[in-house]
Amino acid sequence: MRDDGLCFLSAAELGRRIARREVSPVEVARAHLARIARLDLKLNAYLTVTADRALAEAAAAEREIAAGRCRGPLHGVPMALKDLFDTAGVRTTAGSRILAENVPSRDAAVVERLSAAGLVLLGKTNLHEFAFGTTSDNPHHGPVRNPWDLERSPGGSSGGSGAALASGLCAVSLGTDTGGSIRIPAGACGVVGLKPTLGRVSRRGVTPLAWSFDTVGPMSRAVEDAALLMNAIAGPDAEDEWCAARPAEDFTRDLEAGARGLMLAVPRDWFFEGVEPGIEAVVREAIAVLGREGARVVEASLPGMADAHTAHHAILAAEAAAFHGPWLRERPDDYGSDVRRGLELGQLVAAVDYVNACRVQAIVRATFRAALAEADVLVTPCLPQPPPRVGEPMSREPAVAWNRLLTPVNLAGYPALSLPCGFDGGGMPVGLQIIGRPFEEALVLRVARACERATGWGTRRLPG
Amino acid sequence: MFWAIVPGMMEIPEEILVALAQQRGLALDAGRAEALRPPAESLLGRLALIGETLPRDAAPPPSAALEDRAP
Repeated sequence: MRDDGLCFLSAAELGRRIARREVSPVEVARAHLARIARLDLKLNAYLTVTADRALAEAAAAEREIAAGRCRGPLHGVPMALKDLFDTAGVRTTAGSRILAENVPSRDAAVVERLSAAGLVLLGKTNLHEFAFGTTSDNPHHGPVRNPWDLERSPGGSSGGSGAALASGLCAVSLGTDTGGSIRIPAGACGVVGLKPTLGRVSRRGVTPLAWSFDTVGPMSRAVEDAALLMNAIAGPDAEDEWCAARPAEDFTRDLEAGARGLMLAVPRDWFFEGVEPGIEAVVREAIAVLGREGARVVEASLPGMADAHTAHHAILAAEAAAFHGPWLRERPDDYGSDVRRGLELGQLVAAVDYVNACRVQAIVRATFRAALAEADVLVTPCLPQPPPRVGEPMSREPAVAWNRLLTPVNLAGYPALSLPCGFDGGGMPVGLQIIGRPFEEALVLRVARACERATGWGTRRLPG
Repeated sequence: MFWAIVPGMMEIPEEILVALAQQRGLALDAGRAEALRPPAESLLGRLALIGETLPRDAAPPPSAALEDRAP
């Protein structure tokens, strides 16, 4: 197999071959590093490449596996981390100028867990500044570009992770999702992105954007890989007050159970309004595929989603403004213009508006609870429009915001996954959003795997 | 300073915007105030409308983790 072939295997398959010693983790790391050196000048997906560390970790994995001490299914598999996760001894910028020289002394909790599982760190990926935006047009480190069309955005804020996965520059990645920041780049780049239930995964050591919504989740090219990453990162953390006490579980357990017997609900309003016809057609065909696989497809009503988007925006902006307040007052010129404006806006949200937004949050949770009382999952488009051109300004208005189909899920705190399900008329990937009940990520992954298996879209790879 | 967002009347005079920002310790020049005004008018106007139409019995969610309410 050509080295580039290694870079498009699923992480699960790579892990199996490494465990059987058919391929060396060092060979795998070298193949990825060579590909990064060749392609990332165009994509700008990485902010830091930890080549020496990657080769050292890969060599250590090789020795351990040779000695019969394989740590699990991802031992020796190369990963990239959004540059929002603290990495001890490795620069962690949050995509900002303010933290450009920040070198943490301790790993984030999820980084500790992935290291314990034996993954190899290739580097840190580019993102929207401080994760506060949907494009990854980064004013300090340059824009990330979409591998499917270099003139377009890969989405954000975890855009570097999405671009790196789609172009074979890593096997798996971790992102964060506060208002769609995992699902947007997953949808725009044609990869899998799972936003877990709020509290499912520790956020200790992750630069916050908005505490009420911040979640850490897996990004990958295959659904099985996302489940394996969840196995590695989910579970309680005594050092994170927001982390739920619910014990970790095996997220792969139902992956191959199929869609038969499940009920999928398709919202009849909001989630299909203003969606480009080419995207809607692909999504409706994916839903029909799940129907042919044995799922029962019903309609659902979820009123109040415009208010949900507004309430989400208010809470996010106010919390981000609270976190950034001192820097915003002391170093305002060190922010990019869109993030600075978003933080200034957050400073203007009054306490009574914040409380009213929280009241909307309670209503929206009840709406999702009712919609999922009988249905197992909700299925919707991920993004209503194809990715914007690099540099194109983005609106946060409810009627047109690129993340407007995603923010209500953040407000509710429910888990949701974006699955590649085809391509629009312009050749850009289309994502299917699968929304589940709290802590039912395993069921969301099961539905995603059923669709992935039936359509095979996840296996289409980029040329080059 | 007498000023309030009236639901449906989404207009914030520039001097009010600058004064509000100053209260938060932010310095807005004319250009920044002009850039901030449209999103501020939109978001604060929508929030004002929400405040007028929320059911009286709608309370914020409890602060306990989602897990406690999971089905």
